[in-house]
Amino acid sequence: MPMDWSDKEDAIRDWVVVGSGLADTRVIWASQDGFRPQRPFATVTISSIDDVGAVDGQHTEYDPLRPAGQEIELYTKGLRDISVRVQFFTTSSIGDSCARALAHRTKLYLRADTVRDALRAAGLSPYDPGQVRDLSALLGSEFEGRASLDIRLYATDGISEFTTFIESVEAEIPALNDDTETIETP
Amino acid sequence: MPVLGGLVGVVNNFSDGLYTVTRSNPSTYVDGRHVPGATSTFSVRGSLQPLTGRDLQRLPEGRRGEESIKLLTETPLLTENEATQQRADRLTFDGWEWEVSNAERWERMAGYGRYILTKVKEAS
Repeated sequence: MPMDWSDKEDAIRDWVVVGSGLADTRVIWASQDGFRPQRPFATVTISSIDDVGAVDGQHTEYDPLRPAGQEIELYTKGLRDISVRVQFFTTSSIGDSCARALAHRTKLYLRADTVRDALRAAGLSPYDPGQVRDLSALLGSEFEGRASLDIRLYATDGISEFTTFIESVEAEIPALNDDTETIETP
Repeated sequence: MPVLGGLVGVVNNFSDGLYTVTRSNPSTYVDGRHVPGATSTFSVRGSLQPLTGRDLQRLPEGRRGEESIKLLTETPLLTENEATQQRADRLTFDGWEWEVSNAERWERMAGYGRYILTKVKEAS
């Protein structure tokens, strides 16, 4: 039940590849040791994960078919608000293939059924397609096209612990005598 | 034949040992995740020397405070190349890895190269 980050990362990145039209090797996760790819390329970052609501829900489930000693599952489950930042880098700052255009196209694809189905399969539900910002700037002596797209998605998260029934209880009755009496559950 | 071919002999005379250099193949990205290139090692004979103030000026501003040394050797070494995704060569010395951060190629003129190396991490 804890988040499977690999599946979610792959689904998010697949959306960027499809939406931007960039080659697979040109869409990378940010903050890694490797060099930046040749332009045009995009970087993806999961920038924040927030809890939605004050506390997660707590539940108990009983399954007699589970291994002995683990019949009872105690789990907490809650909603998470995930922010994803995608940044685009191109040689041009204007035109159909500039960073701003790629970001806008990627944002548009967040509404495509195939993309949403793939994200849903990974447990992600996009709810805020965010804003495209043009951040083109000088790199050396030339302008580099740069744009940023921030979106937000919902996902669930939780943990489970397993326990079993109390089989017996030992109780001392000191007032009457020094004997201990064992009480067993039926 | 280098114009000043005799200088490589001078450099070799000042050589103070054999050093192990690690060279990396260009890295790649698979599913957006960085995959380092395979590495290979080879030995170079050269002269390790401390830097002068002028040598330090050749380094980028942010790296002048890091411990650095220079190596004179006839074996060409590689600096970082973003266009080819090539990492800089690393030399193992005194229990640390030193990365080639600056190169002066005198191979054509005098048959040797002059490299500034910056300490990066403890050798594994």
